[in-house]
Amino acid sequence: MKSSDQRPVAVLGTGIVPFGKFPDVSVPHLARPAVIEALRESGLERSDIESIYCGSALSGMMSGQRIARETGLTGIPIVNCENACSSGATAFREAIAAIGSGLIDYAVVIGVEKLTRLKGGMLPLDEEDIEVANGMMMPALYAMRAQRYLHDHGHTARDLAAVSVKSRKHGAMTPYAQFRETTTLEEVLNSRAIADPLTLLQCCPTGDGAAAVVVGPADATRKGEHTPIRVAGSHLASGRFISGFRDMTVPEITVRCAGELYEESGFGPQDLDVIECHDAFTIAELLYYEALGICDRGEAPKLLHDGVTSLGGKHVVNPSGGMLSKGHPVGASGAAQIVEIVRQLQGRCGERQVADAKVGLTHVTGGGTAGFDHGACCIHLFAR
Amino acid sequence: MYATTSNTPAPADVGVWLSAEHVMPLDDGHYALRAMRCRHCSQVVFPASDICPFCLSEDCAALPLHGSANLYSATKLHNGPKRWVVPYAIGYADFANGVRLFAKLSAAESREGPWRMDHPVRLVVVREAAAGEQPERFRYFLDEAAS
Repeated sequence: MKSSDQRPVAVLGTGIVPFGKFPDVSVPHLARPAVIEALRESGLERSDIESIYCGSALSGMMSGQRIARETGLTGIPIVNCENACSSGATAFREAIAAIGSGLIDYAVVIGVEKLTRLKGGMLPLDEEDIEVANGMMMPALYAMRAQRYLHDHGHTARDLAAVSVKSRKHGAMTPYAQFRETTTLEEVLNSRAIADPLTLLQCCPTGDGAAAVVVGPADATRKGEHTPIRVAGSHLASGRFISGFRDMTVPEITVRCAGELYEESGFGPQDLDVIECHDAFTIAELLYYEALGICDRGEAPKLLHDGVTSLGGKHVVNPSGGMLSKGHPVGASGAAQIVEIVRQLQGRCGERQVADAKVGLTHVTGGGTAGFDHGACCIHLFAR
Repeated sequence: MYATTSNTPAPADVGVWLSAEHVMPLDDGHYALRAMRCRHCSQVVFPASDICPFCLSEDCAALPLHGSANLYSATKLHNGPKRWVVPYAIGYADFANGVRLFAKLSAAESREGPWRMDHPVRLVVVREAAAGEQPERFRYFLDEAAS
């Protein structure tokens, strides 16, 4: 069943905690304020909530149950979702499918991750993977995409670094961003080398975070303080195994996922006022401009430099500062994107508010596995 | 300790070890990596498997990977897993038979500087002889093409 054939679903409440490094805060306590805030915004009673969907990649077993214990929500069905960087968005998709089908009316969706448990360093990948065993790391994968993109289109490292400058400018206006100071091209380019051509300030920081939303039928009587925001489309794709040559500058899983979502929802890239996309590295944001269809191949730096994706532009990308400013607590990021887009469409984002935002999109993808562009990609559309 | 297919020494911490089933001896005494081509759907796969992962056919032919390939992309890493010595370089190389191989490069940079895309590299397969209960095993990396 297509999401467009289902009962319309809306986001009724949102909650998020400041992202950062909180090694002394447990996973349930990290998520608790976000859940309580989302419940309060929704105006629902805890007894109205029929199910919890919790996305996390590295928080251990039953993260949803552990959070429920701290938020008065035990005893109801809980589904824990692991889908790498798409975990939080996948949990959201599962919730709206359950509501859309009529199985339940109200659910809490949580995205949570505590990367400080890993004691620093880069995200661990599965050593059974032959590429990982041969030295692959996530920054390296994106760095090779960047090398090829610059090579094919004649762009420069300064084009990449400009993404971080834009991100930090937006992040400086976001109360829950981890990095809230602006930066310059020179600072980005002169920061420590990680994987050529990517420097430290072109890589999302590690960190902890949580976000939550309450979802329910779009036609339900409004009980919350903010306008419910309709979920206009939901799509999940998994990677296609390709063992031969592939163009690394075309993220096929995102192209396919977005294309199918546009076809299903009736919306297109021209409709997108605001986007939160998977900017885990600077090159990623540029490639996703093209993959999401807001510009042609090779044109992403021009779009960025022309201000189209900055606040005040036609397609504002990552007004929250994205992963480059917030950090990327893997399972939390998808839910955090949804909180930002819903609040943008509600007109609640203060100085980083996208003027008259009517349609927004969230996009996460991830999972480094040999033979795949990525393992999973989950995209949602929202409209008011 | 090593019998290599070239005079280039293996990088100290070069990645995964392969068992003998993953290599093919060549007539010149060197080794190729064993990829495969499915006779049913024509897909090429490395490492070779007993079943084609695309169509599940068991009718697969061995496909040797050796010699020259085109470096599709590469990066020099300044951070890596704890057991890896940085900096090091990794990359993807495209072989004429359709296989794209991911491997470590022989050095963080080539003799002329950063590794260049769309330039030839060559596959080096390294054999480590059996020792005690440890059977012979193999590993591989990409090196500069012979000048």
